[in-house]
Amino acid sequence: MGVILEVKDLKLGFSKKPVLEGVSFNINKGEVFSLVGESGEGKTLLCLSLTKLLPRNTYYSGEVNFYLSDKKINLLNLSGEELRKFRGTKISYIFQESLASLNPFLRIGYQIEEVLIYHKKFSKKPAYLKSLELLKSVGFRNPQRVYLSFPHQISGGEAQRAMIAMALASEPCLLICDEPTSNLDLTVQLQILKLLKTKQEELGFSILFVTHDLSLVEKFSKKLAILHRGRIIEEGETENIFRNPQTEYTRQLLNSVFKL
Amino acid sequence: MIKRILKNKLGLSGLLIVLFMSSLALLAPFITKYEPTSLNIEEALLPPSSKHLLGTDSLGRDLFSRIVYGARISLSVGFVAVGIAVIIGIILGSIAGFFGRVIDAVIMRFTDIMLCFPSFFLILSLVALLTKPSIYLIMVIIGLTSWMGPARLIRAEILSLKEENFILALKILKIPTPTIILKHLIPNALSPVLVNATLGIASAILVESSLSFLGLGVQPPTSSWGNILMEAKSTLGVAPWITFFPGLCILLTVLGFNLLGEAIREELK
Amino acid sequence: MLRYIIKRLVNMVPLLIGISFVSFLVIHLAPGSPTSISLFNPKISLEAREKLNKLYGLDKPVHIQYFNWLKDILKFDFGYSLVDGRKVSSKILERLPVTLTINILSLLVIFFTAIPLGLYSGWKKGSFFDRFTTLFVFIGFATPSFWLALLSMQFLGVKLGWFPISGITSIDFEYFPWYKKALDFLWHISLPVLVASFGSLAGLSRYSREKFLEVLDKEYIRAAFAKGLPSSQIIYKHALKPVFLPVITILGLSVPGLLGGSVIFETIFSIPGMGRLFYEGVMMRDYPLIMGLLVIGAFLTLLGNFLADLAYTWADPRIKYSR
Repeated sequence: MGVILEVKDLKLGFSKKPVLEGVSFNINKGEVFSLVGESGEGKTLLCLSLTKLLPRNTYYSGEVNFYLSDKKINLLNLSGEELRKFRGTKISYIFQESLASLNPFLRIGYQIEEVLIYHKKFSKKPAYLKSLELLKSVGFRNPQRVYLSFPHQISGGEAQRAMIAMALASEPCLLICDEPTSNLDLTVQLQILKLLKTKQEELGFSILFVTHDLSLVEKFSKKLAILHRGRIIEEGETENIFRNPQTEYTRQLLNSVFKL
Repeated sequence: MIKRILKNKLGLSGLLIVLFMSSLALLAPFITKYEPTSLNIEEALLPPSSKHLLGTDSLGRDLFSRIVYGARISLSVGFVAVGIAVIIGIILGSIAGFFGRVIDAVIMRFTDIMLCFPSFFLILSLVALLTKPSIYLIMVIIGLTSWMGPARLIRAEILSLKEENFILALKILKIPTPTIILKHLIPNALSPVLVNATLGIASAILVESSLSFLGLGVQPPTSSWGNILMEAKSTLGVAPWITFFPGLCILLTVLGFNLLGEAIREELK
Repeated sequence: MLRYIIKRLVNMVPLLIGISFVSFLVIHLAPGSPTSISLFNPKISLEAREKLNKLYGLDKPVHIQYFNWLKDILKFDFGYSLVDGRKVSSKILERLPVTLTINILSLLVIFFTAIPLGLYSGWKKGSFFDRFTTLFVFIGFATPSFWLALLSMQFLGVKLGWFPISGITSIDFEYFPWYKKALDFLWHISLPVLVASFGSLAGLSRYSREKFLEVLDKEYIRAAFAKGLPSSQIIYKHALKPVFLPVITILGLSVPGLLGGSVIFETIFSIPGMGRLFYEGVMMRDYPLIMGLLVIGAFLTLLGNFLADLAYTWADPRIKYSR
């Protein structure tokens, strides 16, 4: 098992407000790694920063090293054009607001095909067939209907499944999930997590699972890190941390989960 | 708030322009050597010189004084017309917003109908009805055709303010309705209207000068920037300064109010 | 979607009635009756005036006059001009095409100039281009159209001789082959179209810029970047449509402004259009003509709004395919 992503001392912030004060962690190949932090801690910013998708006035420093067939590449040093080759191909994203992440003016099918056409150089018909296949593989019984739908015609859960299909279209090595289930109903949440787990075992990609909900983490990932006040305050095997939390903050988080 | 506008460069320039033009207008008698209407055919069509700052027109009248006195006309039309529009707008908008339902529907329909007419068409029609064009009636006419914007804004603000807790509290305390409307609702609803009014002054100035240019506004010999340009048409080739300066003044003044209005809008966001 | 269109059309009916009512009201607020202009001509005897009154139905009570007039305009009969006795509808009809052509061309010019300008300013936010364009746009907004018309007439027309400054045809127009006629016409209306578009250009380019920046902040654009799509795909396929749609609505809303403006530049450039007809009507106090033009003007405004609305409804999948 090798490392696929190595984050070293990542610092991020806006001109007046630092957000991350030095974050480091490693994700191994085929591993599900959870990053837990409460709202406002900068989780989304962290996810975006890994491929330099930062808004205009942010500053950053540190290293984000991606290991591609034994080559170590610092993503933060790449140019926009070079980064484009990673995004949507080696590293994919799914976001919290599934419906908002889809362009309301374009059909779902088209938005999946885009990835295939621009990254994998598919032509129209093969892209169409492959997108139907992808939609089927994430559990849609009628992929044709979803393909032709516009975002406003499907539910949040369906949208998230479509996002997963989109993210997996190019067979990524790492899937970054930014609170993918926070906006969904409880039953749908579990469905999505199950889907992610199934796909991960099937295709073998790594997952960076960012959430504020510790209860989801227990069954879902083997490794875990806690983000607090811009730093990783605890990191390790999920089981160990749950049984033996090292910091007060972690203990508080665990308590709040189990009290419910 | 004024301090913050001063920090915004564009807003500051806008404010300065407006103040400059206003002072020109106010100080008109003190800064001009000549009367705007005194003819002197021998000195007709002279280019700008030390004697006549901006030159003279075809009848030998000093262009600088004509322009400065014209500023009085344009600015007063701007302020008064917008004042009238805002007052009508406040009255109709607050009644519609506060009483709601049928009254609101009727007033809004009426507003929609008025908005269907190209405003300049309406203004011209009303001007056509005047047997004798008068600057005061023109102010009223412009006011009567621009109240729709403020009315809608006030109505929208009042509709949302109506549900606020402090209004409900006033109602419980049995404060009489007119007091609620006048003392509490309207003052709080005014800020978007401020932007609209500032931009409205700019637009009113443009309308007045267009009307005067067409001969339907301020009549000569009283000078308005628009009617100076009307007379300048015939001497365009030989005396371009008569065309250039009044137009430039209109442009600057309108620009000033626009910049100021935009700055206020940015501030209120 | 058809239901939506029908609903909109039905909503327009009370507006149209209201328009006719207000137009009628506006004119009949005149101190003195509409034939009072004939007061200026001492040769018209009292008898003749009474005859005129009867002819125009002015001896009947006001509300009867209104209903008669309303009945007539539904048949497109706007009465007769006080100036030359011709049918108002014919006078308007012969001037309508020119004004419509100029205004439609202006809308096209605005559309194809303002939007790219606004989008590029937004894309390069804060750059020299952006700040320069913003300043240029503010100045354009503040420029009085008649002043611009005079200046362009003088410099582009007289001094440089690039464009003609009056009328819509050249002297030997009749002898031109059809394509030369078309070109000649276009050449003549170039300056008017330029002047007409200039002011609205400013507003629309600023609006496009604002909307573009708004759209770029949206989550689906961020997701598109996260997918690693090329910028061109993101701009043209993802960001344009959400910008275009509100812009089209604004274009529809700029019809009344263009119509009002046409009064000015048609008069300056001696274009035989509806705007100049309105001006002539006002100067001569030709009330039936003025009423007719008010109604037509308002109708065109409504039409412009309706078409823009229609385009929006057709283009926005959220409305077109509503649940």
